[in-house]
Amino acid sequence: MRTGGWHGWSQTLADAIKLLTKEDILPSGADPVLFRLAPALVMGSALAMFAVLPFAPGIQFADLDLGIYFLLAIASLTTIGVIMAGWGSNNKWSLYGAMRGAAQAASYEIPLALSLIPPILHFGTFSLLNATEQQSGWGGMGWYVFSDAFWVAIPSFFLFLTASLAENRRAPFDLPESESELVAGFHTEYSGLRFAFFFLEEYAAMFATSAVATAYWLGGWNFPGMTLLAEGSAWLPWLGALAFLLKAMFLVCVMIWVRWTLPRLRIDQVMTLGWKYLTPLALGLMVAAAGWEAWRAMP
Amino acid sequence: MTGEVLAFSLFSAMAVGGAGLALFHRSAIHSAFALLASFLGVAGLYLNLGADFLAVTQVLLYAGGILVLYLFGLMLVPPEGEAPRPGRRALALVLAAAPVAIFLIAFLARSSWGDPSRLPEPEGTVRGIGLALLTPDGWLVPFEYASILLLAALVGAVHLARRSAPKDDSP
Amino acid sequence: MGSMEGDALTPARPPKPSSFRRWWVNLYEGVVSTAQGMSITLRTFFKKPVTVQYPEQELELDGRYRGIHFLEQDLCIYCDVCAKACPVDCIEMDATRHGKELEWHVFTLDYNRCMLCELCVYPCPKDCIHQGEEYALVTENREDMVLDLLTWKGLTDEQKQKIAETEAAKAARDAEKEKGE
Ligand code: SF4
Ligand code: SF4
Repeated sequence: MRTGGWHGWSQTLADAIKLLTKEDILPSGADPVLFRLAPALVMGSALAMFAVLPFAPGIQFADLDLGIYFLLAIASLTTIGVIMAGWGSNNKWSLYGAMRGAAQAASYEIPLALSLIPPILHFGTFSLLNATEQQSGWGGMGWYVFSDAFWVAIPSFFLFLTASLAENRRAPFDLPESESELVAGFHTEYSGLRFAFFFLEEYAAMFATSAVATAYWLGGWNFPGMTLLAEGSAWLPWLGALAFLLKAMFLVCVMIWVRWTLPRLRIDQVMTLGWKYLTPLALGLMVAAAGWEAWRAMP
Repeated sequence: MTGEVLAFSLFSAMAVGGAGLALFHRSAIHSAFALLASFLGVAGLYLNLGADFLAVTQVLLYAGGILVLYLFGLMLVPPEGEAPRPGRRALALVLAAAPVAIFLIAFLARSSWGDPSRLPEPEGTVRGIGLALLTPDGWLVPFEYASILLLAALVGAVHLARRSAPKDDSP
Repeated sequence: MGSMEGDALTPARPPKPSSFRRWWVNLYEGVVSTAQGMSITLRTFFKKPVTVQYPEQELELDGRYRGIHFLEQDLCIYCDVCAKACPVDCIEMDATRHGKELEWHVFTLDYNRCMLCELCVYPCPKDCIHQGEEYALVTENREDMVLDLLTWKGLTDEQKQKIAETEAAKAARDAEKEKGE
């Protein structure tokens, strides 16, 4: 790489400084309150999602009883932020982007939540911490995808990933910003730090959903060989956090990999996929998981 | 205790202020966004009372679902400028609302307020709600009744929404 | 499969009666084609990139690369054929004849307009205008894009030398070829 040191590592920092120092533009026709409020709402809800993520034993901001339910509720607030940004910008492109975002998020929230039901039923808890702790069997390989319910776990895992792509407005579901037709969609008019907030939110939400998938399907911080560590070892939180981050980052990479591969869908295709394929599939999986767990629980 | 009072004041200000703004703001979109503040305030009030499940459901369903649909609908209607001032109709509205207000105030005056410090520490309510809704000793039958009602409403809405039943609209 | 649904090129046919079977076929094809696409991108990801880090590394150019022009001023007979051939009219020349001698005043080429099409090179009766391998012509204003081919004003010494070397190599190659024929 020409600039920015080894493989351009310092470019990221330079980018951040650039975004911080750029001019913050408020378009003259925009709605000043909504325009300013939208990035804050979007960013705030993205950060609030991190509160319930169990990074490692003892490294979690809040172990809510309602962990995942809380996270879903908070995630749904970003949609409002997107609509607010699109409306507040007073720009046709922004408005179109916001409308697509609203339609898409409202449709994909359903398969997203439904695909979470199999693991919730399996572990019997909304708490991400509790679910992770239940996957520590088999020397750290007792992940949900390796459990006896793997045949529900694996499809629901992929369903969750697909729905979360749409929920986070990532390609191939990036219609709210589709730069080839809407310039930048709902954040066309934003600049500087407010623009950065929208981008940060996208990546923060990607990480948060990957972390949820990790905690529910891929065993959270549990890693093979962790039983070799002494009970209560000081290494455990560190190695656990490393394992958690590696798994979550791998899923983030998968999301980016999908972006390399698939072209953007048309809005009717997005709706078809969401309502006619993902939702029935998720419902079917929910029934299958419920039946399986009930069968296992029988005396 | 003061923390609770502070939270209560904050959240009720949000709820009431948001609702008032939603009522009186003259642009429909702003009213809808003001509802967001109201919903979040109500969720905060629930949380203050220890009803965590209810609070999160409030955010998920009202703020994340219903409000998004409201906004989506509002964006589809052409902008007509600002709503006219209520004018003479205001009197009728006040008259209609007065009995409700009187009833509520009477209700407030008659209820006995327990000692909040004697309440048990709030704990997760999910289990209790699940058991209450889905066991035969609880409210299983009304719950299922409500879901059938909703299902009927859904089917009716779908039927109304299709203009004429096409032979095929897939995939 | 194209038969399932209309795509961008083939308009959608009137929909066939929907069937539960087709739903499964669509699902299967969606999953399989996504997996195929993902495997292709994954394989490409582990291949060596074909891009080069340009200012540090440069591509080997083919001998026939059409870059900035190079004029063999001694051979040129001021016939204006190259200027007439140019479709965008970017060559300008002026000279005074003193019997057989030529006194050159100007021979400029406007690279704002030139599209490096080589049409000026073919008709030259003396075969004295060529295109070299130099392509990096970066200037700070438009005026500097008009190069004086007489003096190569605007080119650095390095660039001039490179052009000259290229031309020498070309000439050597041509000589070789002629010998071969
Ligand atoms: S290369 Fe083409 S455009 Fe450029 S001067 Fe020659 S004829 Fe004109
Ligand atoms: S065609 Fe050749 S000889 Fe004639 S003016 Fe151009 S460069 Fe000179």
